[in-house]
Amino acid sequence: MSQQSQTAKPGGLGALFTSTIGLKVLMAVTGAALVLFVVQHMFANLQIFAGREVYNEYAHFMQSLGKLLWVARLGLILIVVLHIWAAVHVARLNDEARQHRYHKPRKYQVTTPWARYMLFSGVVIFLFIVYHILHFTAGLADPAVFNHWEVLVAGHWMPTPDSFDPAAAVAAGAEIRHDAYEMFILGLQKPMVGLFYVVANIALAMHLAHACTSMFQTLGLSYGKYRPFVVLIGPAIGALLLVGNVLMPLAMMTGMVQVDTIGAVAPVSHGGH
Amino acid sequence: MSKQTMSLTLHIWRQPGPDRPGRLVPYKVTDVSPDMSFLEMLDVLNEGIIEGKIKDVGNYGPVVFDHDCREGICGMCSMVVNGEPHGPRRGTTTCQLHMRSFEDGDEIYIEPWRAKAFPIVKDLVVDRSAFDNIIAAGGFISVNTGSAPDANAIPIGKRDADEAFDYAACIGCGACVAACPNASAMLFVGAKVAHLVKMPQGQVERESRVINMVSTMDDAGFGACTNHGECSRSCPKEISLDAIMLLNREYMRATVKTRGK
Ligand code: SF4
Ligand code: FES
Repeated sequence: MSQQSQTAKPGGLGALFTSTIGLKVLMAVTGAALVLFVVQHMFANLQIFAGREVYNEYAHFMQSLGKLLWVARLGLILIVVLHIWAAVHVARLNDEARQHRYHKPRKYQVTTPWARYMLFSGVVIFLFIVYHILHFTAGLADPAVFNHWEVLVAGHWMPTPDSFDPAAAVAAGAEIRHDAYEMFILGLQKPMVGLFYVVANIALAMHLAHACTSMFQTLGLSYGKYRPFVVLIGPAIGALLLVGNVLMPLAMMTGMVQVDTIGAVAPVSHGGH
Repeated sequence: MSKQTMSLTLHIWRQPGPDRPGRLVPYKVTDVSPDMSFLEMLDVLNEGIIEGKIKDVGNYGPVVFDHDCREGICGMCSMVVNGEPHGPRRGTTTCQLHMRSFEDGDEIYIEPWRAKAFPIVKDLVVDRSAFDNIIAAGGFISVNTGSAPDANAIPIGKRDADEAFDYAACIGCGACVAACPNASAMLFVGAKVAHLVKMPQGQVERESRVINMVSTMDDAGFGACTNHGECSRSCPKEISLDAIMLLNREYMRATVKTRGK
């Protein structure tokens, strides 16, 4: 009998992908990595307020990472896929488990709207990520905004006008780099685009307000006296991201931050329009 | 205490059998003393139905509900009262809930626990065998047979003893599942796992227990915890969410320890 009680059902690391707790852990671990990413992403982008030179220097540095950048990108995509896979799996299990609802709706006492609409905020965030990559990474959503370049003139990076032809410049031996600064500001100046960024970041803040506290609980790190502190982590990170990430599109939409083109290289053709 | 009696309108879930359709049926009960327990009030209702004094639309007969100890220790009296498992009072089972928690003229909705893993047997009675299966899968310890060991032969730290005792307070009622938006049983399973892991006697089956209990829980069709906290709030024994946290911790530890075995 004691022999039998010792034979555990399939445990091991495979349980990460099959059991309810395993899926939660998978979601928490991938989620933690994504939180670290979005927080650093926000601080990196806030450099937009430091002006053209600082921002483009940073963007250039990121681009110069080459292969490493691609490792990071593919890693992030893998993490996002795992996170979504686990979330969808858990959501389906839970829907199935709670298939019978109450006629007099349950009076929820302690849960929050953030906790209850995780899937919804998650979907908004996912749609945003797809758009955001097409917008600012692939440059397919709005090529006119994406295609801005700086050119190296006497050791200084100089902005160029819209009519600048990067291919021709490179052929002529000039050194150019992507003008992420102008792309960022011009892209978010468009009201509908800016609004979408605002909405998506509200969804992100909501998602993280629950998620960041939740992951501590799931990973077994909210024991006893730490709990009152842990319950504040989610709302705190959510609020931080809300302020930082919404500030940027708002600043562009209202014209608080505008493209600074001092010293723009003006080729002859510029007078054409 | 006022001597006044109360009149209530009850909307009770009536379902003749597991696969039969059910519906909420209204009943008027009068002469309810505020000092009655909720179950005594239902006894009054059933008496009225049997004697034909209370109108029973659809002729369902007396309302079938589970109960046993009526003193808050057996965990049988499962019902969702006005959208809250075990009714509006915190840390209180339905049998310990008194009618003074309600007002004269109130409308009260009474439904069974709802969860895929708790199929309805009849009216307010659900089948909670899933909990028994989870206990059978690991809710035990190994002891030598023979004469009872000396009570203090194995010393246990005060803190561990207190915590184990708090978790042991779970009466297996299932309110946590009924309350959970995901119909998750992790507060219950967590309470059992945490109770035994705090004791030296619980160490022998430490890994197999948590793995077997969780896999039985998953097989029964309970959902996964997404940290809403409704379970702990509805729990008549006020089991802390720490139970779920410890369950997660123990499960992770056990999966790592048993890998490749
Ligand atoms: S944890 Fe609380 S609500 Fe859940 S079964 Fe135990 S006593 Fe009932
Ligand atoms: S009847 Fe035993 S706990 Fe309510």
